[in-house]
Order: sequence, then C-alpha cells, then structure tokens
Amino acid sequence: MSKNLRITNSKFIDQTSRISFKFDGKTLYGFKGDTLASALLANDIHLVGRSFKYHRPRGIMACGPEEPNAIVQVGSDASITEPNTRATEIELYEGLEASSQNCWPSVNFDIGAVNNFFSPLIPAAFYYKTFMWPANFWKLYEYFIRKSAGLGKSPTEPDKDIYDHRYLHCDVLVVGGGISGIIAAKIAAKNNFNTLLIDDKNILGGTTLFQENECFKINNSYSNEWLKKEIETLKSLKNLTIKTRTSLAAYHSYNYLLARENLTDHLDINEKKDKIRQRLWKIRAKKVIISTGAMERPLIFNNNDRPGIILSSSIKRYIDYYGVKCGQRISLFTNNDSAYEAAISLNNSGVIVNSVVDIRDKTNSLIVKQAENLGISISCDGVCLTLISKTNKILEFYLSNETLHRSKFKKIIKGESINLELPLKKGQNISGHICQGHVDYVSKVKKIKLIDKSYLMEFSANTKQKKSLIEKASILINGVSLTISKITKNGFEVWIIPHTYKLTNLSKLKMNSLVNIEVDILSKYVKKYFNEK
Amino acid sequence: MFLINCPYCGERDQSEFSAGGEAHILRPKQPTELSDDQWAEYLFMRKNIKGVQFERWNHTHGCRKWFNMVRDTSNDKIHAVYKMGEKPPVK
Ligand SMILES: [Zn+2]
Repeated sequence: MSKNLRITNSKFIDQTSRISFKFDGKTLYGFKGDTLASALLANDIHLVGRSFKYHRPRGIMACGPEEPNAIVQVGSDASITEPNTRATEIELYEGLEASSQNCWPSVNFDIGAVNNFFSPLIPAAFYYKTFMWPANFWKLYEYFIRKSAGLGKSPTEPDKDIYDHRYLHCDVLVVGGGISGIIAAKIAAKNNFNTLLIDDKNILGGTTLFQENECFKINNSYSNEWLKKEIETLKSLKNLTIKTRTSLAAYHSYNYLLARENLTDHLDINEKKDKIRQRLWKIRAKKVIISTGAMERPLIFNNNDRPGIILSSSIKRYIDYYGVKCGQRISLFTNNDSAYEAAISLNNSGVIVNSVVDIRDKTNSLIVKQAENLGISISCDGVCLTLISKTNKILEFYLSNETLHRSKFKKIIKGESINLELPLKKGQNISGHICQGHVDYVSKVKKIKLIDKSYLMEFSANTKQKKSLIEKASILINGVSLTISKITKNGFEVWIIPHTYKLTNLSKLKMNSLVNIEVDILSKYVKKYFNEK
Repeated sequence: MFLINCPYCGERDQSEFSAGGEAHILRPKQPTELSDDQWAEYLFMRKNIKGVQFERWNHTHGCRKWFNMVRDTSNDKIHAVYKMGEKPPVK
C-alpha cells in the first residue's frame, strides 16, 4: 500500500491547486510547483525505470538535471511524445502523461530483469546482435529484442508545436541564479553592462531558496531571506534581463552560446495551444560567467543504484522545497557535513532520522553539533548496522542479505548476547585499531584455555584467510579489537584479558561457537597494493 | 562560431562568411612554361599549418567582398583582418 509522503509546510508548493497526472497509466495527484519526480515521491513511487542492459530497478536519485535514473517518456500523442526526459526537470501540469522506459511489459514486472541474474554471462560490451545468429532465427528474436533494447520511443508523426529562435547580444552573460550568479549579475548591471541572467529553474535562487539554517547566514540574516532581498533589487535594475526556465545547451568559441527557453512546457494542456513552446536563444556575449554551483557526488557502495537511495542534497530539496519526505525512515551515509543539513531539515519537518553514518573520525563543524542529538549509529558485533527503533530496552536493526550472508547473524539464536559499541564521539581518544564494522568472514572457536586468569583462544582460518593475518597485528572478533599472538596450522590464537572477557560476549564462547571476523583494514590495503588474491 | 570583423562591415557572425583557403598564392606569370609537377604544386599543394596561417575569406551573406585574415588554427584566434591588396601584417 503506497503512502502519502507529503508534508504541509512548504512555501513553494501551492497546496490549494491540485493537479492530476498519469504515470504508467495510473492517475495520481500532485500540486502546482511540483516536478514529476517530487509528485511521484509524494505518492510513494520510487521505482520509475529499468537500467539499460541488466534491467535493474531504478528509482529517483536526484532532483535536477543531474538525475541519471528517472528518465521517462512524456506524452502519449504520436506527434508530441518525447523520450528521455528527466522526471526531475518536468514541471507538473494538468493532463501530464508520463511512462517509464526500458521495461516491458511493465516497470514492476520486467522480463528483461532476468538479465540481471545472467549478468556474469552478459559482460560489458555484450551486444544484442549476438542473437542475430543463426540468421533465420532473427525473425524469432527480433520482436523481443526490439522491445528490450533502446530507451524510449520517438514520435511517429510531425511535431505540431511552434518553435522560435532569436539572436541576443550582451556584455555579460551570467549562467545560474544562485548566490554567486545573483551577485555577479547585480555588480555587472550596476556598472552599466548590458547583462543577461539565465537559470534553468522556474525561480531564481538555487538551493539558497530554502536555506534557513543558523549555520548559513549572510550579513547576519538567514541566507534565504538575504536572497529574497537581493532578487528584489535585481528585478529593479535596468540593464538586466532575467530569463528563467532557460538552460544553456552549448558554449562555442568567441562566446557564442545556445540556450533553450521553455515557454509553455509547464502549462496545462489546454493553455499550451497556439503558443510558442520553446525558444532557442543564440547568444553572443562579451563575457560569460558560469555560476552553476556544484552537484553532489554519490558515494560508492554495493547496490547504490537501488530505488530508495537518494543524494542527501536532493533529500533536502524534496523536504524543504517540495514538502516531500523521501521515505518513512531515513538513514544518511556521508563523508562530509552536507548530510547533516538534510538530517536537520528532515527532523524539523517531523521525519524520523534513524542514523547518520559518517565515515570520518571527527569533525568540528557547527552543523554536526546541531544534528548530534538527532540520530545514532551503532557498531554491533563488529557489523555496522542501522538502528530502526528503540523501544522498551529493545533495539531493532535492519540486516541486509549481504550482512546476513557474510556474518554469523545468519546462525544467531534468540537470547544470545552480542557486543554493542557506540560510534566514536568527537573529542574521544582514539585507541585500539581501526574497525569499520564490515565483517570479512565467520570463524569457529577451536580451543579455549584458561592460563593465569586470562584466556587463550584459537580460531579457525583457512589458508586464504590466513594470508591477511600476521602475528602482533590487530583483529576484530565479534567487534572486539584483539591482538593475534600466534598463527597456527589451522588458524590463529589470541589472548583475552579478564577485563575484556568480563565485558564482552567472548565469555560465552564455547568450542565451535561462531564469531564474526574483521581483519585489519591495513592488511587489505597492502594486499590490494601487491595485487594478491 | 567565430565573430569575424569584416574590413568593410564590422563584426559579424561566422555563418555569414565562407572560407577561401590559403592567402597570398601568386599565379605563375607564364603557366605554359611550367612542368606538370610545378602546375600541380601551384594548383593543389597547400601548407595547412598548425598555428598562425594567412587565409582568404568572403563575406558571402553580407558585402560579398573578399578579404584576408590571420588566424591561429590551433586555437582559432583571429589576429588580424585586412583588405585584398593590402600588405599582410608582420609575422
Ligand atoms: Zn562585409
């Protein structure tokens, strides 16, 4: 059952004007100000397409022109249907019809997805042409391959819309209407330069439009309020032309640029009639200022292309600008401060943030302090897990298939005790060794010996696993950092001092108990460096 | 897309012009006295320099006059334009 993921505090969405549209034949509702992507997310629709070759499920991942996944076909009419448009760039209008591409018969049940299971057999640069042999079989293959190859459908009848092109000359062209673009345009126009400012969105301001965090103040006022005033000043300047919904498409030599202005694409289907749809601007500028800002770089991890995994900057835009929460429970994974902005925005809008998993050791920024009380990430038995809920002294974690497969949690019994460790806090001394919480393999207890109040334990390791073990090196057993005292014939030995034994579940170990092993990260790097398997 | 400063009309878009190849190639005074090789050399062989090159251009969709241009073919920088018959600027 899909849920309504809309919250009601956005200043940019007009919740009084409901818009109906169709996606994959289903009638859905959004509001004026929405993009197709934000409206889909508000309707709890993440799965919008399939990848080109393996037909892996693809969901909305970003919120602007950087969107790689949510590529849709717009319009059902044979003359105006348009393939390969980004759902994140389509402003919602009454009567919009869109559908997923590269899937058949439907995005949820896609026959081509079997390619994903056969992926070892379909390497990169595999061509569907392979199927052309033997020649008389092509008749059989063709129908199915034509269905599964290619992205989108091209129109089959002439375009009925009206298009226009115009020349424009200016002293200064400013591309992008964020903070830097607005200041650049203001200075240029005030100095009597004939200036043109263009932005691809329907309003100027970029991400600053919804930036109202204490940490981001300009001249002692919140950035969004400061920006509002600057835009007002800008509109009163005589030398300045502002074009919104205009995106730069090409930058040729001698400052010759091409830009496309969208004139009616956002209008209701009835209002579009007899109007110029798009205009191509051929711009010759004396100076060009590119102030397009930056895009967030996605983090690399297994299956990061799955639906539901969204850039944190986009999560922030969806919640602050469109008033759409990207999910019910959100966890953030980051290597910098920007995810905390998203966490704070979500929290301010009443969305539960499970955890912020930060790969950094420590950071001093104010925004992290601000977010510190929001979520928590716990290293559990050496496996980095995400906390889902915390009620009545019971912690609920989510374990993925990969985690289950690699760790001993597959064989865990009810009532068994595990080691809990909180993530390193800022300012705490770093001791022990670097543990990532990523289990490498599972070992068995081979020997337990009590010698002088300490315990000597032997764990199993095969020849391959032993390669990354050396005496006196650190190793993580059930999340407890220990030192390898000896490499044995079938594994390795460690000493466990009484303090460790008392505080951890190592005391519960018996012969042949299973434990999670994480080898020293340094050994992995060294191995990689020398190309060892 | 160049912005070309026609010596007769001023700055215009490249789409108004057409290129006419290498400039300052003198027509032999007595073509009949040339060997086939020499004639072919005059007719077909061009320097095609990577760097500063002297070229002829025609303002086809404007004044329709021919003129000369000094252009760096490696970065498309136009160093000078001058009328036909005028002395080329010193290299
Ligand atoms: Zn001319």
